Amino acid sequence: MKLRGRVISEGRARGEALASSRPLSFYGDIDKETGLVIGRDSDIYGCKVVDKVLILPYTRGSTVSAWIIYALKRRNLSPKAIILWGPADPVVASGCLISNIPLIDMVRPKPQLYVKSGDEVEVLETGEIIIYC
Amino acid sequence: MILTREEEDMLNGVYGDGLRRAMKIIVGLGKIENASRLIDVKSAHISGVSYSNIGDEGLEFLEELASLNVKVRVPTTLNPCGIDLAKWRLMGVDDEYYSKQVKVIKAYEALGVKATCTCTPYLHDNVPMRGDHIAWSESSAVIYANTFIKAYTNKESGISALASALTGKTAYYGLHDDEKRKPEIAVRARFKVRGALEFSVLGYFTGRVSEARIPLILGAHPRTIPEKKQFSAGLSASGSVGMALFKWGEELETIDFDRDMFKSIINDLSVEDDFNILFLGCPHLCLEEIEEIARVVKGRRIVRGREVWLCTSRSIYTQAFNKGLIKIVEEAGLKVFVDTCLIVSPLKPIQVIGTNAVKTAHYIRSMHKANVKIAEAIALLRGVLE
Repeated sequence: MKLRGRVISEGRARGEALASSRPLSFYGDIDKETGLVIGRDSDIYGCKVVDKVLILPYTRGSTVSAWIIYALKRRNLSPKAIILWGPADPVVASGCLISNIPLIDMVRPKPQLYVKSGDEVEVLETGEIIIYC
Repeated sequence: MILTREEEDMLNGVYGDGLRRAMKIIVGLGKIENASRLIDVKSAHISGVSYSNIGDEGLEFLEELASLNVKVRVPTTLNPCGIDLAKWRLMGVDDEYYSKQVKVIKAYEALGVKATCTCTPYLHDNVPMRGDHIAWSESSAVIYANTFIKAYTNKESGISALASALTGKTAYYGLHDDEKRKPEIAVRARFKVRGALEFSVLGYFTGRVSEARIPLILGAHPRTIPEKKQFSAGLSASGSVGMALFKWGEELETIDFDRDMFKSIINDLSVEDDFNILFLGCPHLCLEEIEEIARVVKGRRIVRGREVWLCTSRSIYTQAFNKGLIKIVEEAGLKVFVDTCLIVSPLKPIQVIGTNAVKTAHYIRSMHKANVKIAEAIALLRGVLE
């Protein structure tokens, strides 16, 4: 199964999917000391984003989030890649660009329908996403 | 993307490594919507100032950039940091934290940024004009500037706002383009929305239901600065977008906001318990709010064992001080802090925080693992007076 989106921050990564149907803010919803999701209204509350391919509808909230993405990356606590079915805002885009984390947005078909947490997923430089079952 | 000779030179490192890095971020963001060119910005505002938030990694990033001898090309202001830079001991902050926070501020100042340390730059320190193109972060200030001043800014991150400050440029896309400033969903208020708290919740509800679409608000319009501030902050916490509209010619898919929804949002976020600290100043208090608080507490005292924190900007503090308002509120036992706010400060565990801002409730619950009690500011304040 292959999905496809726009490449916002280019790169290749393969890892375990962590899929959510709710938006997140890296500031406020993720603990930068541990990589744990702490946003109480998230459906992946208590999960770690560390080394995951993080799949979200879109990102929300704080403009500090880019700093959090950068700090997570420097601490080896960041996701390996981020996949959005909605549009990337400049906040998540700049965070991923300076942290060299692949970011693909406007992914179709919507990944939430085809990927669940735990699936093996690969993100390619072309914006293609391969799901291994 | 077509770049001018100067922009091309910045990108190629002719002006040094600092500007090369900054320009790389600007051009990278422009690719999101295939921007055809860059435009000049008139000002920038940067979030990511508290040492609690950016950590040693952010501090190193800023110090390295500052060592490359680059300076901002447009007036640039800063969001709140983790402490009141003068009264930090009163906040219970230790020396190590203080020295790290001062290093962050010094690095920004070395880049030419004005250390205003406020989330309401639009009140005094960095006031855009209608139609100005600017590069701002601080999600509530972005929404305020786009929605109520009709300036043009995307919701920048602290890092991309800094890149724009250094280059004086941003890519022409998103909310800089009138064609993109169109609503795609409407929220209709089904009751008379009035006061800061109700507008805070309306903003929060709108952010949730509008997803990544610009919302049109029908049947409610914030009139006062506190109402506008709170609407912006509520929308910024739950939502993704950088603006809202209150007038539009076309029919849109519409979602109702009624009193039951208002109550259910408060009930989800708020507890019944008494609070230990009442925090007012998210976003930073404006002069009118400090005047109202002073009227309520004048000649009275707060109950022993309770604390009240007021947070504002240094410039609004000075205005309030000159009107004698700071003296009145301090005599009543309230603490007034500038440069900071409770959300971005290194708090000792506090059980329950009183607030009139849904944004505070939203972040405090996850970041400080505290509970919150939400009500109108003056009602909360009356509850702690002797």
